[in-house]
Amino acid sequence: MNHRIQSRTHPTVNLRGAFIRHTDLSNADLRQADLSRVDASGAAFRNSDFQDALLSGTILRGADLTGARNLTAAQLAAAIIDEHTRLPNYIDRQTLTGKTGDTVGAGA
Amino acid sequence: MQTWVLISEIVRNLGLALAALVGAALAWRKLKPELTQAGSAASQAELARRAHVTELFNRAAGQLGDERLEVRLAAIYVLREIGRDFPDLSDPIFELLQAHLRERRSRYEELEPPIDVKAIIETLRMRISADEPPHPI
Repeated sequence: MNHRIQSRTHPTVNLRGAFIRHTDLSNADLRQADLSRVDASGAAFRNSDFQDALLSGTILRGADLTGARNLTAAQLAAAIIDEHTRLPNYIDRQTLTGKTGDTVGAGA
Repeated sequence: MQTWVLISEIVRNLGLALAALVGAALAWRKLKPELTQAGSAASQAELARRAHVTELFNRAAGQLGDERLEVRLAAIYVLREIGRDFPDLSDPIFELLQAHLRERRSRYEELEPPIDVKAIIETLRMRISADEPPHPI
């Protein structure tokens, strides 16, 4: 895991329950963000920082998480991903799904 | 004799310096009320500007839920501009736009989000871009 400690200089994001399919939140500071139950299907989060972000029930089907920082398997296990979700290379898809291609996570 | 000339020059120079000081003091006394007045006018103008911005903010906040896309879009751009010009309003605008996204009921299935949703996300990203230090919306 790419764990980097930075001091907080940006406001904390709270999009709990929002519908933001296919939007682009790349290069964003999402540390401690509340993204619970957000529908972010097909959204881009390239190189965004997810340290301590809440991803409970977050729909990340087809989302692009390439290069996302400080994302953990535990966070992703609470989210809903599918075989089209692009994960950062330090996350092993098989440890999340048990077998490749399954939709995993809360509510899946 | 040379000593007297020297003393008289010193006395003259001291006199000139004293006169200059008195002149400067009198000029300052005359100018001070005008400066105070100018400062007061500037703060009045700032207050008026602030009141105008508050009105714009309130109107834009109300227009975020308008049925017409162009009205919603205009409201988002107005809020973005206010955030740029008044950094102390950046956080309230950030919170307002987030709240709008959270409460927004309409859904879309298309691959592209509606232009107003894109504009809001773009505005939020300007505040939380990890590449740059936070700058006002």
